[in-house]
Amino acid sequence: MRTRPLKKYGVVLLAAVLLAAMTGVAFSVTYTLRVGSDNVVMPDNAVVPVWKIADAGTDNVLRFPGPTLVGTVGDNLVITLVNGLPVDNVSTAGPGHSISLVIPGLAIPVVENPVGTPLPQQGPVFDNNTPPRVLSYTQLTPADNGTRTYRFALTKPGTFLYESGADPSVQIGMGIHGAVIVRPAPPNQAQAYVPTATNPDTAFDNEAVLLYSAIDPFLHHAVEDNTYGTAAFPSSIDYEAKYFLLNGKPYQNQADPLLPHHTPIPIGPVGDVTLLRFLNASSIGLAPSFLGTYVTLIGEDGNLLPYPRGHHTLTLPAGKTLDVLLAPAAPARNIPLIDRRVNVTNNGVYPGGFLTLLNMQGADGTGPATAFTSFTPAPTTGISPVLLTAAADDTATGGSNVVAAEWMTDNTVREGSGNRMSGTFGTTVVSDLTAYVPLSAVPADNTLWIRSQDAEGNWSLPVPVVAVRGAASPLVVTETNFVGGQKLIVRATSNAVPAGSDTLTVTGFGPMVYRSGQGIYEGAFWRVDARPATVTVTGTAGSVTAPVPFP
Amino acid sequence: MRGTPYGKAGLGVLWVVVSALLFGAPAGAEIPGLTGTSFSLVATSGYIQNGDGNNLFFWGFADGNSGSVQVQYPGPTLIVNQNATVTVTLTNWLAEPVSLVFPGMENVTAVNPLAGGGIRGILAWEAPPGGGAVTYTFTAARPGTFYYQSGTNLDKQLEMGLFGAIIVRPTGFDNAVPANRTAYGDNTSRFDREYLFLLSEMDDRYHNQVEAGQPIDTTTFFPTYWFVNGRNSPDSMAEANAPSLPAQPYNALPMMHPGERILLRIVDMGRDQHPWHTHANHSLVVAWDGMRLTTNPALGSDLAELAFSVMAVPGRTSESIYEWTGKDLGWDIYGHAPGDPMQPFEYAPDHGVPLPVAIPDQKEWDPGPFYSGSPFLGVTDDLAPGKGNLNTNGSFFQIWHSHAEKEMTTNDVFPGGMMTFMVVVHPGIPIP
Repeated sequence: MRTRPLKKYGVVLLAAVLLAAMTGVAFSVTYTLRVGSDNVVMPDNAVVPVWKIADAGTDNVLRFPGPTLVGTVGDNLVITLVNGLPVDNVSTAGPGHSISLVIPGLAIPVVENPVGTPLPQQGPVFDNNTPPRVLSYTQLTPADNGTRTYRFALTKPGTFLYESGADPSVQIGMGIHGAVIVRPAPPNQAQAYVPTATNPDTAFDNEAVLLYSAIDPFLHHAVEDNTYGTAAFPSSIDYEAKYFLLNGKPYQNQADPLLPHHTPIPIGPVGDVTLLRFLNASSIGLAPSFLGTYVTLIGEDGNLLPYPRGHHTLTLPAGKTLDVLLAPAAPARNIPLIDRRVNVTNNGVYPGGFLTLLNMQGADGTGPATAFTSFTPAPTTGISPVLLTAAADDTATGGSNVVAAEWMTDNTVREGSGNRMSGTFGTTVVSDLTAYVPLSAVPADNTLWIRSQDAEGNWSLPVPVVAVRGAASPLVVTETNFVGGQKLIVRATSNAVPAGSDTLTVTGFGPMVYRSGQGIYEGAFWRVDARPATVTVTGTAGSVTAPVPFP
Repeated sequence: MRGTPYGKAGLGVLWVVVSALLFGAPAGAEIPGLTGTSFSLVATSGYIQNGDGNNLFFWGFADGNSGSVQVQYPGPTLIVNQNATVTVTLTNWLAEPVSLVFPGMENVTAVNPLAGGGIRGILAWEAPPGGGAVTYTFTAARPGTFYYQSGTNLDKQLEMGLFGAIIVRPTGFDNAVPANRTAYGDNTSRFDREYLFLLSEMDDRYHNQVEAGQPIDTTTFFPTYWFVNGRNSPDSMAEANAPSLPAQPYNALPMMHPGERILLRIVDMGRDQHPWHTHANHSLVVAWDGMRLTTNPALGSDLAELAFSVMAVPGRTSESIYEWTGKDLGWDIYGHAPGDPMQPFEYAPDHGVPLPVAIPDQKEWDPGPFYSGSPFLGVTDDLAPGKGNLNTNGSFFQIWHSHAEKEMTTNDVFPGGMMTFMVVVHPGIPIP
């Protein structure tokens, strides 16, 4: 038995139940978890050393946090730990890189080596000091590929956190943690708990694990450098989280701008009940807060509450688990879930951290298709600025209205922070996205980027637009300015030879004069009643239109 | 026998209370705020004054319908009726986009947001800087205590003060009819007086950095100022709309007669939990987040739970009922002789029971500033020169505060911070 897919699994369960009933033997749910050291890359490209856990029985890929383990009340959860961490030869205090496992809320496991053979020594591990200090709550699995098996009796249903029982202030945060789902014994296996008369609604259609953790990169680097526990980094007393990860990822979770920056958590469609299993593996108390919906808290720490409780904001202390039912009313939408303790930055930069969207099935979770249309005139003429035209279409990507578009010189610019494009927004297809682009802004690789946004807030990925600049710049409008509600100033350069020999005219306003000291042509026009949206300058090389910004 | 846990240290700073008690109108039966269905909130900046004399730059909301642009901390309390269609127009005069979200409201929409230059943010439609506007509308489907807050740059804008409370009156609410003066339309949430306790805190570094146009890193959060309804003690006890506190119009000075039911509406708009501690008695929590603690709404809040400290959680609201009669003190708070008539709600077993202490001569002890000269409710008596004198009605002062005791300071100075008093007033003395 392994992590089951979210969807209706009742038939599979029924078969399993019948099998169990026929044999009369308790299941053992067995996992082999391999621990190794690795890195995670944060959205600001910070590389943080972590410890990861792989499920050797499936794809054996190291993950942060560890895989979700699933069992049923009455099963034994048998976890064989393979500790692939290197031996810590530097730190003399503490368990070093030896690790162990506990599941708060379940009894201390029997530790075996090999499987089926309990170690002669069980229970906590102490060091050799006088008086001795505890190193681990359960027997240790040594580093450098030591192996131990931890046999837990699954005695109650609910959501639990498995975590290291050794040096927890370090090892849990480094990555030795994950979720355990314990399903009730038959016949309630498809429920979150065994329902009671006063808390009867424990059934659900979908479920999702929401595992919160946090990273103080200084602590992680100290562990990686083997300076943790030395005078250089004596303890976790100065712990201060900088990154806040939900299921191992913060908001804005991709450093690569060409990949989706956020992966919403899928939940059921309108009418479905989604069971959200909250777990807090961080060292800080959190307040998950839903915008636009209520949820029903039915259980905590593997205990069904006597009565369900409605909330929009939950209390999720460190180490705790909550079981929450979410059944949002129509329409299908993306439901924001924020930490109201506002740990919503990545190392201080908003948006980030514990900020996520729950994507209801049927909701629009994809930005519009964005396509380049034209430049006018072609950038190869060298005339600047040029009019960039593009189109956005959300018809096939959720059907929401297109509400914004922008162009950037760099695809790493955060969404919404680019140069806004104009257009007739408010329909699913907008074909008249325009912006004036000064050629001086085109980067050396001749590539600009465009993207658009729909009314649900989804942005498209950046689309490259190639703008090969002409070598010559025969006519460039360098500045347009509307001053004091009455004066229009236009400045331009021309490569006509000799300097100053061009004749430039601002359409509708008059001729420009050459300022030989600055090498520019200038037109200053008084008694202009209103700011013109654009001005057109005509010279021997042709015409160029440029926008006039708001004063 | 002290009327207050304060020693002499509190005397100098607490004189403000005099003005509250003598001249002010600090509390009525209803929480002050804006009523109606259409509200205008203008986001802009200003300064608050703290009890240590330090001014802090903040961002807040002004009531755009008032004709004034007085920004306030917290924003105006919006009071609406259940099932009303509420519209709130946000106009943004700050230098970055601002939005509003309304947790607990399940059908918030922005009205034609593109028309006002609205920007679709991550969580909500945002009003662009420089006077941009977005109008939000929702149906106030449930009664209870709610709040609005910015949904943009959350860590910065909530620290800066962009939030305020919303109170939804239940269908049938009538402040003039005691039976219909309820939080949820049922007898278990009936109240005689109600008070808002909107709790928040500030890290002064961020406010100075934002004022200077510098970026802030909120992962280093270390609060130094704590507030009830936007004021720290002792300003929390000054009168509402005090001219000296133009950006902090709301006070927090609950007053009651013995036996009255006091509704506490607690909203935590800070980042930290605040155990709001009601000295002298527990309060009975009837609802969290606008959701009654009930097995069946027809039974009222039959699962209500007593709390000596109500745990205020960031983003969460609660209502609780507080009562006090002097029950179980073991002596008669009125100093009655056994044959005297009873006062309303007086605890009968203690009627006529003498104070079990012989009060020493006034030369031999040092009363606190709230001691009236008598241990009995509604009685004042002689005091040594310069002693007492802040309690001219012979009331009982019960300190209410965050039980995270560190939060009873104002930038490291005690007393201050998240603290005020519940004043129990003799039944014969009207409460304004």
